[in-house]
Amino acid sequence: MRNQIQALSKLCCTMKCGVIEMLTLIRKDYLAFGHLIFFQLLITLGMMSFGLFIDKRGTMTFIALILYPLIVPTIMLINDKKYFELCNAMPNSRRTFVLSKYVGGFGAAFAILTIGMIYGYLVTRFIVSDGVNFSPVFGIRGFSFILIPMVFVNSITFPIFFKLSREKGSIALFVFFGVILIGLLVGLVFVEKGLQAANMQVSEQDVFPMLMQRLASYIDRIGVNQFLIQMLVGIAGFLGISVLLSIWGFSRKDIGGE
Amino acid sequence: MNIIEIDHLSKNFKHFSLHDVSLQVAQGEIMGLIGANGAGKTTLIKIIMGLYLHDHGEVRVFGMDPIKDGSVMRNDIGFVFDDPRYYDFNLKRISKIIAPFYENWQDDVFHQYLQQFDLTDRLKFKSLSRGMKLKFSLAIALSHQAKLLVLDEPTSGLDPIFRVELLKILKKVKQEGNCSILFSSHITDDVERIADSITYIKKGGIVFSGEKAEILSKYRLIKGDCEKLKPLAESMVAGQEIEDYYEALVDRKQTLPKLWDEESDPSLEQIMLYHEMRGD
Repeated sequence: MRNQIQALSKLCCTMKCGVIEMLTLIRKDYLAFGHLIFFQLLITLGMMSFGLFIDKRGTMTFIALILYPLIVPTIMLINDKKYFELCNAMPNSRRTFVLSKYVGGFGAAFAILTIGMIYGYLVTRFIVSDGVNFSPVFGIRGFSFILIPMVFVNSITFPIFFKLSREKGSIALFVFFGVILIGLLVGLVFVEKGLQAANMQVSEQDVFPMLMQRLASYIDRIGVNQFLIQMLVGIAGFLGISVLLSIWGFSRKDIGGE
Repeated sequence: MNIIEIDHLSKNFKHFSLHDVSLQVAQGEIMGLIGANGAGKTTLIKIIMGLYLHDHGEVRVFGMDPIKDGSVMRNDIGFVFDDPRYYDFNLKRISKIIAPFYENWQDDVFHQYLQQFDLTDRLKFKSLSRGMKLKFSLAIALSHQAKLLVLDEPTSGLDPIFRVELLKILKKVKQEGNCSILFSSHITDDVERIADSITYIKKGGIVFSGEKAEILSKYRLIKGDCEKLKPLAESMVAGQEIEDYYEALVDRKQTLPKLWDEESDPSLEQIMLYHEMRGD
């Protein structure tokens, strides 16, 4: 019993130290890259303003809201790469260091997203009422849909940049997304050919909308909330794998040899 | 009690390897790590700091594993790297970023050192010269009551006046805090001046590691006629022709026919130089 209590108190102490270490690392990142986060926030709000006040069609607004916060965690990670040696010569473990990048980066992106959301909502509610309809996006459901690509993309980039150097990582990422794009195009061609072989006359332009239609009918069948839960569970699993891969890759790496 | 214990350490890279490295640094000891550029000094330091992984052997710092227990271990280590890279802010902001990482950070001590090193906290890190960057790095290393200082080439790039001052500071830190110091340098004069023990690395392997006095008394430098001394080449560490005479380093314990004209105690630089000249 005494041993169990000792083990438990040791575990609590380790966890507490880990949390303090992580908060110190996140604080360091915010102090070091506060200007980058602020710049991304300004760009997001600027591009959203263009969509809300001038374009008034929403495309620019939503692209800005999804795209700019999306790249914040990776930008922070890449910019910190040349200080990895310094950071890891200070008292913190490699695992906490990796986790702090996820929590800190996603936290910054989340903050920009939240400010962007509130800004979009306030503008459409009180200033420009004849343009973009922001209300379907404003809320937990819309927020979650915007959050998913952010988590997805960074879950891919993080393990790559933790394991490889900045240059090699950029090449690997370029190749990775290139392969996905080509795979997608080839896949669409195969789908088209398959449908034609089944005597369904479909033109090239119809394939993508048709797939989207199928997705839409699937969502209708199971309900938006159920679909959202499935997406969130899937992306949480993907994020978990990404964290494990990053820790695994970074723990087996010589730091500072780049 | 040993602060650093390294036992049969090996680390392989594509074009270089550290092989069978063993050394100990005792509490309160200053160990100088000498060797030519590319000998493996920085690699060894990075393994001690837990930045590089090793392939074989064992490394213990304060009895802890640098990778597994790095977080606790590094709280008591002050470090200065050969090429210090801090965030590109003014020194005050950098210290604000660094300070929370250390449990025993002393802001007043940090500012004292800044003043002593003629640095002001409004200066931007990017605008500092290499020597000033090293001084700043040293101020950080000395401001959190470290029990071990790991310094990689701390004196290269410094002017001779500050080099002497730095050596005094290190001696004082050692005496006051019973702090151990591991410092690498290819400026053997500095090492000879303050180190208690010396480890010499050549091509990734240790040539010797031990107390300074013991190492310095192990060899003798002989000078004499070329024709007379050249036949002794087999028994020498190495030798070379200098103008009209021949100079060689020999092991004092070796019994040789006294064919030389002059004999003297070699400096650490000469010991290293002749070991480097030796082909193996």
